[in-house]
Amino acid sequence: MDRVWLFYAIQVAASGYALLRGGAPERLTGLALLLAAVSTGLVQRNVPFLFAGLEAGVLIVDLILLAAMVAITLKADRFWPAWATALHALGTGAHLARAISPDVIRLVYAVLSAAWSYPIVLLLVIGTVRHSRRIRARGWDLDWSRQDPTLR
Amino acid sequence: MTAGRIDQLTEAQRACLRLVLTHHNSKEIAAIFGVSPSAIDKRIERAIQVLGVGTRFEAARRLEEHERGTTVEPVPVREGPQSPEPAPTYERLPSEPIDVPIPPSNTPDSAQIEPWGLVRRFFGLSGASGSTGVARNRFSIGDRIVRLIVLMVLIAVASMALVNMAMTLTSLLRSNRDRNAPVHGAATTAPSGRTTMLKQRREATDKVTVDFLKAEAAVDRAAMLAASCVSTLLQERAAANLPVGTGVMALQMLSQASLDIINARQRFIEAHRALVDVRAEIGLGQFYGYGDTAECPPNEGALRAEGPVRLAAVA
Repeated sequence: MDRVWLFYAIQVAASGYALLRGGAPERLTGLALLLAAVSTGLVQRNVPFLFAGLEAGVLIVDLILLAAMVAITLKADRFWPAWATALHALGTGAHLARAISPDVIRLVYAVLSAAWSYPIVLLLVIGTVRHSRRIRARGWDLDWSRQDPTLR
Repeated sequence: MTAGRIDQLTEAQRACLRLVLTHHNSKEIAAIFGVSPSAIDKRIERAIQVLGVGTRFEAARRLEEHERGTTVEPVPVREGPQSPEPAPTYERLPSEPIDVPIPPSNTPDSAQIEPWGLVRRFFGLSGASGSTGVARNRFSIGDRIVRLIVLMVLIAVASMALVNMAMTLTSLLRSNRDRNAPVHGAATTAPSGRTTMLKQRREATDKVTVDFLKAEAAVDRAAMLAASCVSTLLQERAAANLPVGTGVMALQMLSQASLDIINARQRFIEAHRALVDVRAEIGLGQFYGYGDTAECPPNEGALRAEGPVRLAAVA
């Protein structure tokens, strides 16, 4: 269980950094990731049965997070959300794999749906660092790309 | 208080001030009225003096407020002798015009001035940030979707390749090690192929494990029942108001039996550890370290330290 608390600590630190120093995409992603981590901890079942069947609660949380991250990717004036969303989509795909073939063993299911979280958090931190660097260098940084072609 | 003064304005002055409000400069106003700009300047200057304000824009706003019939006095204006620097009467903008995104915790007042201001600022929708800048990510939404899918495929392929490499390397190294040092404990010297041998051993340990866990659970339950039987005996004697000496012999034997069962339970816990060691000894340790089936609780050592008092299920 130490690993779980370690991840929570990393997540809280990264989200706090993004909320304090990031632009709107970083703030939103940090908040969404934090909420998703906490609610996954709340909805998942007791450890003896964990990942034995399809984890419906975790699946729903993952899907909501995926929708939010896709929206951020499509609108934000950033490049890192595409990577983070791709990673998270693969993590969500673990549920699909489990639903299609039930003989995926529990450990593989757990690893497939959890392992992607670490690079996502890393991407969030990198994005926040780059954003604050741009702020320092230029004084401004666009949050959302304009979809108006004349203003691009 | 200014209403009376506004009444003193001539119609020409009022017309000028209305044009000032719509951001016409003196030259433009002069062209509209067909007089010289200096005449317009003089006219506005007089209006400013009548109203006792600092600038022509302030005078124009005063007039406009008066004509709209608003009685509110939004800006406190110093009366009496005019200071060379008029008090700043501009309304404060709810957000900074410069595009530095301020963390939302720093600006609690913006939420009060503008409804949803804090939320809009959090979502980066206040429009202030980087309004002059050029977007870095100039991909359209369709392009972004394509990029997202490509990235997913890329990451999936790359990570699967990585896992594959790791597995290939592991099995290579393992077979290499087996060839160099085939004796891995006394039991691994069997001549049959390693895979089938491992399969047989695995089946054997599976059977033993199932039976052992059943027996362990049964002993645990027996200990629980015996202990509760002792306590029931004591309680019922007191409840039935029987003399203290009643059934002393039976109580003694029963508690002795309960102690024996608890001792047996202790033996089972020791046997559990020994069985785990047996598994490792016959080379099956790596198959059971995954936690896939979770037959052996990871806190098994702690369970032993707590001793037989704890009547929780072992498996």
